Amino acid sequence: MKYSFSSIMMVNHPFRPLALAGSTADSAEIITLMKAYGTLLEAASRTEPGKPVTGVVNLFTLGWMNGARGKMAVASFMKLQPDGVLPAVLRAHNGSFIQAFKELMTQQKLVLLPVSLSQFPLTAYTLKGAAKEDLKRTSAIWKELFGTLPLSIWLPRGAYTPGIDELLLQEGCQFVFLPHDAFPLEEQEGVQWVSPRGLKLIPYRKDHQESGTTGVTLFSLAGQSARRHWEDIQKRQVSSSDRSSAKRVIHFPLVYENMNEGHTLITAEELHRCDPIIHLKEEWDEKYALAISEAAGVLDLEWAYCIYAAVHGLKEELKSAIDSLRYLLDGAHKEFPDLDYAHQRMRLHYGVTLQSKQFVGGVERMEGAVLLLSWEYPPNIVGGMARHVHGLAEALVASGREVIVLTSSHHESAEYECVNGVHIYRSGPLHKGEQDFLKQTSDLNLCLFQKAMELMHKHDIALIHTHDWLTGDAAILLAEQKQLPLISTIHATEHGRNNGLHNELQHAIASKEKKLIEASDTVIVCSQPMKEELRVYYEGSGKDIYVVPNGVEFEESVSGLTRFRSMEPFIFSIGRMVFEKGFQTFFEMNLKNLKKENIQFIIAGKGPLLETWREEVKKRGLEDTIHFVGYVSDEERRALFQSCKAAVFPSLYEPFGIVALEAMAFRKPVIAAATGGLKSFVLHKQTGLLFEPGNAEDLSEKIAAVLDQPGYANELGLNGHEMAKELYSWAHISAQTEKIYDQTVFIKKMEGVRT
Amino acid sequence: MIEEIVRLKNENFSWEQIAATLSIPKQQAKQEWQYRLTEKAKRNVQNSLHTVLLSKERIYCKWHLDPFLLRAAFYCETPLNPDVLDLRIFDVTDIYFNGTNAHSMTCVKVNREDGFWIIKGLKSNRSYLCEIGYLTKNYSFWPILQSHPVHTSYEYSTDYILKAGEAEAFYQHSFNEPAWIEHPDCLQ
Repeated sequence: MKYSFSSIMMVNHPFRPLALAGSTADSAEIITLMKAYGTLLEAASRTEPGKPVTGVVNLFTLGWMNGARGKMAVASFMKLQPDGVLPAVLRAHNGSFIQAFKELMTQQKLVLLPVSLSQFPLTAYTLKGAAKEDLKRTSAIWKELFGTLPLSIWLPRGAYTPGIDELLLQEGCQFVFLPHDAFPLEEQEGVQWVSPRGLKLIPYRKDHQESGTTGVTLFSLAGQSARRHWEDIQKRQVSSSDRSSAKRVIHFPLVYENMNEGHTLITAEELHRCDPIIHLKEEWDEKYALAISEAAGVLDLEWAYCIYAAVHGLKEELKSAIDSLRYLLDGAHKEFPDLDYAHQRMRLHYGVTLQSKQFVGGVERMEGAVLLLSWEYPPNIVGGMARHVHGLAEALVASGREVIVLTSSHHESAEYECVNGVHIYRSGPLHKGEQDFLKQTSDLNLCLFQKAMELMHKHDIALIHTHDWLTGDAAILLAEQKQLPLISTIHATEHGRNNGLHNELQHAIASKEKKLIEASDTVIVCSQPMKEELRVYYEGSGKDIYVVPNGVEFEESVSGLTRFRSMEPFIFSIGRMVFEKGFQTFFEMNLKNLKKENIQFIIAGKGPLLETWREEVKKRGLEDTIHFVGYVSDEERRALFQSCKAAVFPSLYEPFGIVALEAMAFRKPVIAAATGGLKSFVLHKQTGLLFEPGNAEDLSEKIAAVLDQPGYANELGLNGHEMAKELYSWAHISAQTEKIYDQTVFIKKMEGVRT
Repeated sequence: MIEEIVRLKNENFSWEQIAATLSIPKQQAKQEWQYRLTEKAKRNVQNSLHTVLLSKERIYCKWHLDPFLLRAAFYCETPLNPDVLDLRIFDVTDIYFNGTNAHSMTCVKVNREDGFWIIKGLKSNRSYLCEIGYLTKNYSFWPILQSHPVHTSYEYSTDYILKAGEAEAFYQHSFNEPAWIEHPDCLQ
């Protein structure tokens, strides 16, 4: 089909993240999406420069395609259909629609604008301020995706009333398309319409031309003058200062599509459906947003999507989005928000972050260097911390921070070196042979303290960031001495490592941990359970505790020599022993048809149902197959992931499911119940397999599929690995950490002003 | 007490500092704060009367009346019948409405539990606003909430000429008040 210069192509296929979550490159949902966007891209690529095609797009969809999961879907689509214009254009732009659109816009082949985000008619909101916020959010997301303000925003159902021109101008818009119903077109040939506030108004009408199966709705400019005017705008690159042509200021009280044919703008039923959703917004205010300030945008995004789903009648999607919003609000309300979940929703579901202004605007970027204290640093690697600090330090340097790492001395390494921009100083302990572990640690801390005091003369240090209690004393002393902000990352606690405190040494370590938490201005932990642990066992309730998910460890190969070695081959699962984790599904599995007869199931984790389930295993005579092994250490967990044949997560309810990502990091095929968080990154037949929650028959089939086709299992594992990598890159973690730095320094400064 | 806590909290005082400043246990300070948050969330569900034009001649009125507000109103003016409320729609075209000068008024009796109503038969190019209230013992209307005004569409697109002069004047001198009704969000 040939699209003329005056066509407006609307690509507004309903955005259904749940349907997309379970889709593969060859499923209808993805194919429709690609076809629609492909039609727009092709039309724009074929047009002459200076005679652009106009495209109107759904920002939710565009955001999704820009997110981790969307990128993956686009990539596998290109693999599946390597020929044609669309894959070629996409390949030239790294698989990114945004990049492709950007280039076409620069070449003046495309004018692209978004529909206002929630797609709710702006004159019909029953909440004050909602229309304005909708437009604000739309332009903020546009800016995040394209780096510029939108030229215009498409009004849902064409609904316009005076004042909306002002709201659009505030978002930097230069013109707006309005239904031709409002304009006396036959009477006023050759006139350029403008609102009393100076916003250009361009009349459009819906085309009766069949748009076919392309997923594109066609509109066209109404009247010769509109076409001429449009051409004019294009030529002048939309300069708003021009007043030479025949402008006619026009005011009308209300317009929407098909108004003059007697159609309604919105029905009472639609309003009833949307109204309670719109008023959800009244349940939170800035205080709540501040409680999850790192991801404050997610509340707004979820809400905006709830309205979108309500107005489009997407029942299942609406329910899921409301659940998600409620979950986040509950957390924020208890000052206990699940930030992992919030970040994941933004990165996977929406592909944008909609960073709240309070955070970006209110906190200035700190000046000076970060002093990282760590017990170990490569090449001295004992546990996971060295890798963590190393990853963080280099990512911080990459984002332009000055980073100094202070660590214990190591026989193979210099006292000072600069590696990839990171200044590394090594010092102490003096008595390496000391048998008393605590004493040796104190020795190290004193050495680090002295070295740091020396470094303070050389470097302008803005804050101290220590990792775990091992370097805690030095950090506390330094912060006190130099009045510097102290941030500590607690990777693990003594209480957690030992499942309680059982001897004097453990008590002594725990008390050091408490002291460190007490003295820190801000505490960072790697997971939500860890945060709870600090609050409960470490009296950390009055502290600012942030969750920054640990980078999933990728290259590390761990020793498989654990107590579980003899059980191989096995399938692994881990989680709290509670009903909603769904481990009871294992009991009903039909294992007889498995080709691999000796397969074992290892299920790790503690919890109230552990004994009940162990009993159940005995009762059913499954002792030789299913093993509830209870608590496993970090090292054991990694070894189990490394040597399992597949990882199964049968949760009935799972808001996040980071543990499945961990399995993916180990390149293991993941079989997960199709619930909430799991569904969002376990993409069926791409990055894993999904089964119906609680359906043991379905689970058995999926297990058989993985065990019987090692090649396929391997492919799923590799794809999952790619996704985990995308989600938990060091750049992402360091960006989150930097925000915490800036905020801590900012608050500390304010304290200084007060006292 | 709670005002003090809010003030200190807004200044980024830690819980320890707040507790020390006000000489109260930390736990108490936190509880008061938490309680206020919950209360505020509850209060945030505002009393409101909102109008939406559904089409050229239909308006949707939607209200939320807090039982507390209704009790307060009943305390000020005893209702004739506490279970029946009056929803009134006034034609306020080109006037500063003062409660008595509307061009016309339509009254709808609604139940106390109702939350919305649709009124049909609006005329073109007129301004309307709604009020919800009730009849007092002496049969006079007592308003509780008022909506923002809305203006119905022109009958014909050529009617724009009626406001063309004022529109042009506003375009030239935008510091003047517009001579028409605007979207309520624009006034914020």
